[in-house]
Amino acid sequence: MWIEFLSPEEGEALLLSLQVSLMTVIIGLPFGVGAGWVLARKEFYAKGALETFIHLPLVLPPVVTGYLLLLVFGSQRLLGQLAEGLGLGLSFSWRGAVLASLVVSFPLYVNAIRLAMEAVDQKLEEAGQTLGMGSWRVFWQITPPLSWPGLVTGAMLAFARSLGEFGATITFVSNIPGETQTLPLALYSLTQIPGAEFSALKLCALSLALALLALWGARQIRKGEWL
Amino acid sequence: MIEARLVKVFPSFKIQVEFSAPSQGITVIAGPSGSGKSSLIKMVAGLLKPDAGYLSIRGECFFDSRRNKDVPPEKRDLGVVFQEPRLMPHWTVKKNLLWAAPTANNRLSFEEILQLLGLGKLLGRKPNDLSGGEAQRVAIGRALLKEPSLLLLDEPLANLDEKRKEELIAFIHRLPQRLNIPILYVTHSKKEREALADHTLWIHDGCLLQAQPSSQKTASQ
Repeated sequence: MWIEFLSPEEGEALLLSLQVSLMTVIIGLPFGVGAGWVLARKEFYAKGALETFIHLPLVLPPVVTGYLLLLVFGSQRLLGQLAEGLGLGLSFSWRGAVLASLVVSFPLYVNAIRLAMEAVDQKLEEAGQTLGMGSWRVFWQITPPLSWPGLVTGAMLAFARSLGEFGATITFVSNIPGETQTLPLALYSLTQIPGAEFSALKLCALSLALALLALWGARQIRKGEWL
Repeated sequence: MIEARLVKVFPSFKIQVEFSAPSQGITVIAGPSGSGKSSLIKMVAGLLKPDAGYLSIRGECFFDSRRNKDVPPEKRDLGVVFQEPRLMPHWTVKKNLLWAAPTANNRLSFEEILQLLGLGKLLGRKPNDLSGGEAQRVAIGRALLKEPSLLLLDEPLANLDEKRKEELIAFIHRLPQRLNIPILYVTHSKKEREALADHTLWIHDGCLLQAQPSSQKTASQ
């Protein structure tokens, strides 16, 4: 079995990576839909500033993003302590790795959703209004079903970006086996150990396989008739 | 009775109209392209907010700038048919038709609308498999099944060929008598106006020229 093909540490890194990436996709979805809709449909004074803020992690070195997260959500900071108080402590925890992945992958998520929503004919939304749908129902019943391919693309990109996340994660929550050591972090650690080339190669192949699987899965979902 | 006084200022254009129209039969709003007809119907539908004025239909006030009243489009008891059918592409014709239909106390029977508009054979199809005329008939059916107190048609035949136009004119012509729903019909076509108008409102450069009852529809109708 494949699980025997991996050592326990490697298996742990794999499962942790999947866990972090899936959580990123799930938690990011409502925020991605909300932000994508606002950017696609609304005009307001601070729109440029919001866009810049969302896109910042795309252009910042991930280490800088991780350091900023540390400054804002560190265990000595207000927000960090708030999370701790809620039982959702972020420091040196896989939850912190999810937050790092979320921030770094969010621009990709939002952009895919935004583009798909911009392509939804606003005339249909108008028609929905005249048929008795309030703007909230229009938002839920017309826009997302018609921008479905964009949602899938966004989710896939966010998943793939989370799988590859390294800099922000290692800076924000360190590299703790079983807790924050995802695949890329485990691979990095292995490259620092003499004689671990085979293990490193295994994780490398695994990462490649996961990335291809995510691409293939998203393609299948988009091709299928899901509505 | 439809009573309206509506003012809307655009950067290079101004609409200022005041009219009352009877709440029976077909009232055609006629005028050349760019005269403000579509903006006027959008204001009646609630999709475009006037800068000032009032609007009441059959005694119900939908807009009054002095009382700061503006009923949103989904709360206005109106059916709207646009130039394009605007059907949900992934729904069947049946689902599109029943989009806004009330679930109880139907004044209009589904079967009657199907028969009136000749939609019976199309129910299982998707909008992509319909011709332009068929899709527009579905859009009219959808608006009627909402059981509105007024039907607004905004150049509903503009994108159709001559044969389909004539078919649909015949359908639309029958609606007010059969269903007791008055129609406000926007067009720049002389032919449609002559075939359908019980009353005509002429609009030009955003202003109303005259309101007159048409003495009779064209003899052939």
